[in-house]
Amino acid sequence: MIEALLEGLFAVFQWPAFGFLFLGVLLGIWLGAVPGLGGIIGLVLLLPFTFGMDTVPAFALLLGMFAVTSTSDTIASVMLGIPGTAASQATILDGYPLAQQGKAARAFGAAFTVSAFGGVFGAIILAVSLPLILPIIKSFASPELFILGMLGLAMVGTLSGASVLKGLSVACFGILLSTVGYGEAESIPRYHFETDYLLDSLPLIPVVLGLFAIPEIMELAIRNVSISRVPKDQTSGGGMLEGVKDVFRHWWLALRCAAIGTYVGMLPGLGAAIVDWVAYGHAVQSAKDKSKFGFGDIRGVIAPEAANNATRGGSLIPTVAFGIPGSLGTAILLGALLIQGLKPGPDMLTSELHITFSMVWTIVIANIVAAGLLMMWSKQVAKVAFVPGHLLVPGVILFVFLGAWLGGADVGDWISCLTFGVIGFIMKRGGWPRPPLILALILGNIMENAFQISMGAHDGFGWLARPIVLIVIALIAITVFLSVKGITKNKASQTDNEDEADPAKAGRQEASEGGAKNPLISLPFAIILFALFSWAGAQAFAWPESVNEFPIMSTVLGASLVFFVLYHDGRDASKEIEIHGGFSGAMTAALDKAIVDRAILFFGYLLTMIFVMLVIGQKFAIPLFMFLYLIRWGSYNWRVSLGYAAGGWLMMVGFYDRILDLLWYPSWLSTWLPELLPDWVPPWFFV
Amino acid sequence: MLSYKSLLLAAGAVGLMAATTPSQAGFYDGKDVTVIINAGAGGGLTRSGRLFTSNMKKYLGKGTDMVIKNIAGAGGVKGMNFLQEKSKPNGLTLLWGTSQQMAQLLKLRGVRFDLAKLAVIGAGSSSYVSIARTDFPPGIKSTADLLKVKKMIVGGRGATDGLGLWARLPLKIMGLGYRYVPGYRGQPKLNAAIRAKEIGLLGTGSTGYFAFYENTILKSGEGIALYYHSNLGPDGKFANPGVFPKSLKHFSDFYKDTHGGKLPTGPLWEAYKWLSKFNSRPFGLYTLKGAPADRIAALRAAFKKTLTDKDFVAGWRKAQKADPNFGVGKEVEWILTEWRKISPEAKAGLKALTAKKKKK
Repeated sequence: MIEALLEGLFAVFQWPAFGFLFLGVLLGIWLGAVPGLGGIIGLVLLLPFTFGMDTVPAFALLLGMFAVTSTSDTIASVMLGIPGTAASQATILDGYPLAQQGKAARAFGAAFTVSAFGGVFGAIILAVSLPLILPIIKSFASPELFILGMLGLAMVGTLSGASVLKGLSVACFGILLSTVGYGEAESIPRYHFETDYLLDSLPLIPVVLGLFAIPEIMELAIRNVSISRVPKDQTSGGGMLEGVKDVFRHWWLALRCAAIGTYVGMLPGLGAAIVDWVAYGHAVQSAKDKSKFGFGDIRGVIAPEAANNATRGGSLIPTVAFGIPGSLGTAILLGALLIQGLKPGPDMLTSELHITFSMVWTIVIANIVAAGLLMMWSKQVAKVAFVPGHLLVPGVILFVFLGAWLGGADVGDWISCLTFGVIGFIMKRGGWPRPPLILALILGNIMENAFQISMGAHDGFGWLARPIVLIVIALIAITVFLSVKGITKNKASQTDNEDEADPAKAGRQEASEGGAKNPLISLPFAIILFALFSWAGAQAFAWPESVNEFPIMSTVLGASLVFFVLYHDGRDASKEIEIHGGFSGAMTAALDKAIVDRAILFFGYLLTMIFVMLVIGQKFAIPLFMFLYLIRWGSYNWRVSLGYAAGGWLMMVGFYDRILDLLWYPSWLSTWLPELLPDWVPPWFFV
Repeated sequence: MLSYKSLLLAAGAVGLMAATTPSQAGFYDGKDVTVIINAGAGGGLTRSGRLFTSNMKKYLGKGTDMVIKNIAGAGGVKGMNFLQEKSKPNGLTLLWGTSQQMAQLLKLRGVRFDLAKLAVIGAGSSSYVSIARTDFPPGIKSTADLLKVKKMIVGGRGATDGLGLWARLPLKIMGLGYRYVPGYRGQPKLNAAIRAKEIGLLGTGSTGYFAFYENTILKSGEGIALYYHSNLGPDGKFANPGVFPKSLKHFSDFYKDTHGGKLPTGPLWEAYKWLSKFNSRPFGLYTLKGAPADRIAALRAAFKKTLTDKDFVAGWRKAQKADPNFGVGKEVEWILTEWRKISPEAKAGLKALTAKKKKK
């Protein structure tokens, strides 16, 4: 084994393998950092180029890239509150508040250090415990997969936000959304409103970007603030070194979460998608002082980041040992393995063990190199937190809308992005946590499939008695119980301390995920959600059983949970009405608090941009939005605005058109403009 | 859509690009072609599709890219629906996979496509193998032990997919009890299920056989290859693919061995023969018939050239242990038309196979 370990290491350090590894790391950093891209796109992109390569260099390139996207995606999570990938959702809960406190560099220092540690630790644990874990992986069938998904949803539903009821209701909403499009068992379309766009499913990236990015961008726009609400000269303890020290201070947590990442990540199916929540949940549940979680507690960054990098190694094991990919990413890696002529199976752990170890070493080295590079750059990146918000908004809008467009090149993607932007805004202002929606949307399809197979394979609910299923059910019960207990305790302590109300603390509470308290905004959303669940449930009852089980389950549970939310919100709303001496006064106060008037105006700008795009195309519409935004909202002079818009146009033409070869919307302008242009002007400059 | 090649170019990886042969100039130059695969990622169809299209694009146009999009579900029906309902008839969206004649024939719920609206670019045949767990009660140490099993649990992708059909139809012909569990999105998922003892028997194409099982559960003795299924020729004989171990027999031979030397008869056997003609051609490349004729011609020309491309042939031999066996264009158009000529007996057999049990 030692011989194979060393042989694998030397193979990675040989030329050209190391060169490809480095190239993969650079690509991975870029793909992880840009919203809407990510490791899957990278794998699909690179796979064809590995056909003619030797095995070790091929995997150095693929794994080098894939291993580090979950490190660099921290940048979007911390700076913009957008989960860069599914694996970095939990990081936003505390990472983004840290950036708002001017401590983005500290969050980066901790995240990158612990990411490197997690990646290395995960790979080592993996190598050492290979023989022990194989039976565990083999014992995971569809029932375990389904119940593990439930655990993930319970974790995210109860941990992200101040209300367990709201968190779980949103998870049901996410499950319902995951059922849009063709059913799994029979290809009968559900909730597609007779549109082609929704026939397949609701695309994830526009939803994620809309739900998270747009509300945060609006925050910058309508409040005219930078990401950091605290001026640079007033921040303390926010340096990168402080973040590195944090990891050493909380080394035991980092170690535990890396172990969680490795072992949960190797569970085939959805381990990698829920691991950050399991780690975050563990951090909260094991902490003595839980009060700072959600408001910028560095432990809330350390836990998910240690875990999500450790999964990369873990998820490789079922892939190489059994040919069972743990996720879409590893399914593509499996394809690469087969293309290389390697067969998953015992040979990969015996005669080909050096290849397996070379993969493990690639992950180790890629994580260290990426962390080092990102550390070097993070000081500069963190400065963005202090840039005036108005200067960030147009640039981020460009990346968000083109990121949403990238996957499907359909106007529906922009409409989805904007629609979920509105939903995200209302949820944020009304104290509804958004992460459960995304995780449920990701897991919904997998869980529906696993549920139906479980019912078929076990001829009913017999699978509920399987030992691992029972253990996970117990974990779900403990998670919900502890969260409810924790929230009740927090509320009691808040009531005790009402006299010592701290406005800064109240502000932090308001800005935290699902922490806003605005019953007159929350109540209408609850009513809409209740109506939606009722309507969707009624629709589903008319469908065949093979496609209606999941919609019915999610709507019945969702409607029941929202019913209780309605009760709580109704009670809180009447208190507000009493305080403000009537409904009108209370509503005005609620709308003012949420700055709804300016939000509507901002949405109006975005909607106009979409309409304008239909006529003149994206290469004009987006720069026009940038120019007008800077002039009208930012009060910048026309030179700055024009220069900025020109920069945006250059990015679109240079990167998205020439490099990504994006398929642009065929606008009205594109039907005649190319004919009018002289030969020496390329049409792709404009359409 | 992305041109993945381009991003890599920007990353300075130009040197990685394989040398390309001269290509046909025209519509496909610089275009991205989406190739739907109606099965999950990582399985045999995806692997064969990636291999084929990565070589075919060289002959389609200068700078043409073929982007794989896996749309699994409902045993392949979902991918076929997607092709017909979401793509435009412009020759830029293709489907690599099974053509789902049986689903349309039986008018299954969820079938929203019409094979009459498809044009076949080319299609290739495969053989299938049924594999069982050796510890499935009361124990299957040899193929004959299968006859002792009271109720087998069989896994597959859907009601009418090849993997599920080849797994359960022989059991039904032999009158053995089984419970069918559909929903697995492809071979990697079935592989996981048989290892976790969730199912006891599955069907796999030859790609999956060599990639997932030969070196693993078959080698360790955890699994046993029961029999194979292959193409039924015009002479009424089942082909011998010659790639499996000699001890592995065709299902019909196994049946004869265990049933007094006689072949099966009746609707189910007729259904088996019908499937051996149509469902043993999983590697089809299709597009919408409404696409301009010159684009369909360009696709067929590129398909044909790919079949003699040395990289493709080498890759195919490595994966399938056999030479590629494909037909192009008109040679295989019968796949989309002749399936309707099914005898009432065979149709009754297919219906019996897919009939759902009424809940108690």
